[in-house]
Amino acid sequence: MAETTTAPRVRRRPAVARHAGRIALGVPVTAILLFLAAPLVVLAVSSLNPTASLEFPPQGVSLRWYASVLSSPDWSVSFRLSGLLVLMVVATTTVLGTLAAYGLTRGTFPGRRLVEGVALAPLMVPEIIIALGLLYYFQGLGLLNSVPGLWLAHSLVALPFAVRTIMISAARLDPALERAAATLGAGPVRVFLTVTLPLLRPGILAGAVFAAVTSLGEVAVSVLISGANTTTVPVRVFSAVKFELDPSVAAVSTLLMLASVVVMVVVDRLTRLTEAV
Amino acid sequence: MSEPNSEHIVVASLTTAYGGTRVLDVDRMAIRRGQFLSILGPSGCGKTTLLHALAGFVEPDGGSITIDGHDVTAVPPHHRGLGMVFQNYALFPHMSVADNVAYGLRARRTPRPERERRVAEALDLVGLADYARRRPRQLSGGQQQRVAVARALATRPAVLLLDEPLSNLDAQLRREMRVDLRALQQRLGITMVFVTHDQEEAMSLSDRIVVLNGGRIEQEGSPQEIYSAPVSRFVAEFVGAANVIEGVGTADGVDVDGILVRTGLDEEPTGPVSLALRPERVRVSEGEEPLGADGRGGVHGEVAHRAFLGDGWETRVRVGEALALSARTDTEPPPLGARVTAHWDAASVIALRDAGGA
Amino acid sequence: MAAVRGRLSGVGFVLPAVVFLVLVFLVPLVRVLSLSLHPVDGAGNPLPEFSLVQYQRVFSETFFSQALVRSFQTSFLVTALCLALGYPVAYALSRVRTGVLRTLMFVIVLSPLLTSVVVRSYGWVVLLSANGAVNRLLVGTGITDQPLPLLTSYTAVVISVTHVLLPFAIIPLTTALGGIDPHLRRASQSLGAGAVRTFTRVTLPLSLPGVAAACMVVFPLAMGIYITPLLVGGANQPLAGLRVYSQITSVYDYPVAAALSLTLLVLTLVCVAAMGAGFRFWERRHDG
Repeated sequence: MAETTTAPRVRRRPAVARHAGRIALGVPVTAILLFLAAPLVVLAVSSLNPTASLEFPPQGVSLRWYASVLSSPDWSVSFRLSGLLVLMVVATTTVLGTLAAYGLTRGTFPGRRLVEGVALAPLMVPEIIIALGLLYYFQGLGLLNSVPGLWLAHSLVALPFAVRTIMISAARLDPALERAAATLGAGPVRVFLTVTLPLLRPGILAGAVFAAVTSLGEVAVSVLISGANTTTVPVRVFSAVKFELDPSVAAVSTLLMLASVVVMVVVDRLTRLTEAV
Repeated sequence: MSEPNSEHIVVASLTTAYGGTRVLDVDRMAIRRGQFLSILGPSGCGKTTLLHALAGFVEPDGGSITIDGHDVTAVPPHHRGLGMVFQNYALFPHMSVADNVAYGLRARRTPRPERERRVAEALDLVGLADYARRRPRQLSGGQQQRVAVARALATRPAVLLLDEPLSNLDAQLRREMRVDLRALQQRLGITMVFVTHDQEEAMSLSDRIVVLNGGRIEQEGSPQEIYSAPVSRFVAEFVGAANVIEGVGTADGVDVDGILVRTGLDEEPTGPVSLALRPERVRVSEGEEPLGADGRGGVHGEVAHRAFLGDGWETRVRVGEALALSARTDTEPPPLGARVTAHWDAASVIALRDAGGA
Repeated sequence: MAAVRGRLSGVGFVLPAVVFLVLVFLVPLVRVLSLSLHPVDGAGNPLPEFSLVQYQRVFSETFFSQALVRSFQTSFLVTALCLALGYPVAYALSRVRTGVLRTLMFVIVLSPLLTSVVVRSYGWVVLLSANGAVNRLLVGTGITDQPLPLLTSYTAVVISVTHVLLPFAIIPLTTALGGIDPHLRRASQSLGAGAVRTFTRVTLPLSLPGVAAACMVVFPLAMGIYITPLLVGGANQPLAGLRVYSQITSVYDYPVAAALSLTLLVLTLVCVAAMGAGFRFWERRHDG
């Protein structure tokens, strides 16, 4: 082992070659990101079209479609319904999801894997089957064209997201903390309320955001089980796309996008606030 | 019933197994009131399992645990009234130091003025009175450990269980905290059960040590007893370093694979023999001195390794293919390769019980 | 076996969710199954006797069988495109660890997920319509004289579905690539490997679990998607999800819709299982 076998390469590569890697990555990635953003940006911009057409780029800027949508009685009913559903769905999915996620992570009962599979299964099943299933099922139960029906359907679609997100938080929870609480004399209920839940809060809030956003945008199942009295915003957009061709639909779409962003930001602020306290 | 020095905790015939392998098999372990007992052993020996069984987190397959005469084997952890300090402290990250310490008192619904007084008292005890408002993540490791102790003591438990609480601290801090912990224990008169793999720690802290190996108690006694009279090779080598001489006893000495080692005892033992010698009792002299003087054992060999350790010299004397002896001396040993005599007093020879290849 | 106490069995915790899922998910699925096993009379009402005639129809009538095949092909194509487009973005995200650029990239990748699929599909309708941006560009630069009927083309469907599902691919890919120890890259370079070799020999193999996860998320979604093809391509396309929808809403033939949708489900599950097995086999071969 007397000689070294590799001498360092002394020539410095030209600047272009050194940056070639970054360019080779940066250009396609920028293009793909533009591709991702394009339809949404186009919609938002088209909603500002002063004329009743969707030509792009628009010939001016006008908020008339927003005004018309916000003052329209039909759209207002849909906005209220979607808003109500979000609250209801977040409530059910966070409660069911938190309990299930904790039980799946910490539990030792047989068949845990199976239950986990069932909890996440709605994600694997094509939405059209869930839609058909609920349509047929609700027909018999009189839940078609009803708020409770929509609430159940949205909760079903949103639950797997909540469970998955909260399970990540639960997996990070140090079991020693719960044991320490027990040695200090806290019974299982007190431990859960004072130690477990507060520490699961980030996951629960993230799960709540997913549930809210999912419910706000749910259309594939809702289309088949809603009716004239229970048209959520996405369902109304769906019908409007097929029949109406003015920018009011674009305006509603942009509002829907903004609503989701607001939900995310609000919850994010809450999370940071509670972490700082 | 509660006289000092009475048996506080008794573990009897305790067995646990995980997936078919026996993890604990303790015939009897008794801890006296006010005693500092260390459970010492290598990783995997079952010491943490034993502590968790005392705490109530592990339900044993057989046997019983009695505290103050009451059988608590079936009692869940939150009703046992013991305090526990965890290896990684397990401080509640979402609560302040004061709220952490108050947790047990809140669980007992202690009224507020009393609760606040006891929290202040506990924090005072560990010297962290000014840190009440801080969060655990703002504290250093040593401070977190002290909060963990304060939290466990706030409820005034009769027993404190400690699961290697000093392992995550650096050496200097560990030595300091050892002293503080012992002082605290003696001041409060509380019974402490301390689990560790560090034999120096166990010896400096404890009234009594239980050495655990493979789930069984290998030896139990005071630090002096364990050190100067280990019963087995395992204990001799685990607690302090040891030279172990195994062979067959003859009239002239112990035959270790053809080499004769004079033990220096009045009567050389016969039959299979297992002896231990502490390195600090072995002296090294230059040249091959005559062996066989009364009361002195010895053997000839060659210096195979020598190192200066700051507080002394460590020398390894190779006696033959099968035997090498370690010596710790104040004075500088002969150079590498020199022929030397390793010798000791007869009183330094420790007889181990596992003669015969145990 | 020593029981670990203070550890709940957990049954009580999962029970509410399990009851919910049984009632709202499993029972309807079972009823769809039973629905698919009935023939219909002339008016489309299910008859009481059991038969497999609906499944026979699904496999023998090209109207349905072709749709299944097409869905299968389209899903494969879309999955491949999502991987091809998503991998570079995920790779870029794993290299840009902090800063405004990373936040911006995340916002662009995640915001489609925040918006309803109907909004995203509508965005493509607007983009690809006769006086939409794409046609304006084509006519304006003289590539074509007349606006092209981009909507109702298969290409438009593939592009829009890829767009909708792309974030679902990017997320697991980013997680996998982000989880690769950054020291490995440096280790590879210190051993003399250039950027390309480091990528093909170190990064790519280690990101394979992410690729597998992305496939197993995107493929089932592509198989079942119907809103986007409906809005962008029209209701008459040979895609299984769409055919189920039109059988329900135009023809009112629920049993055949049930049979078709269950066949779709089984086909999807078989493909996903095959993918999973394939990836595991590949991993084991390379673990040596």
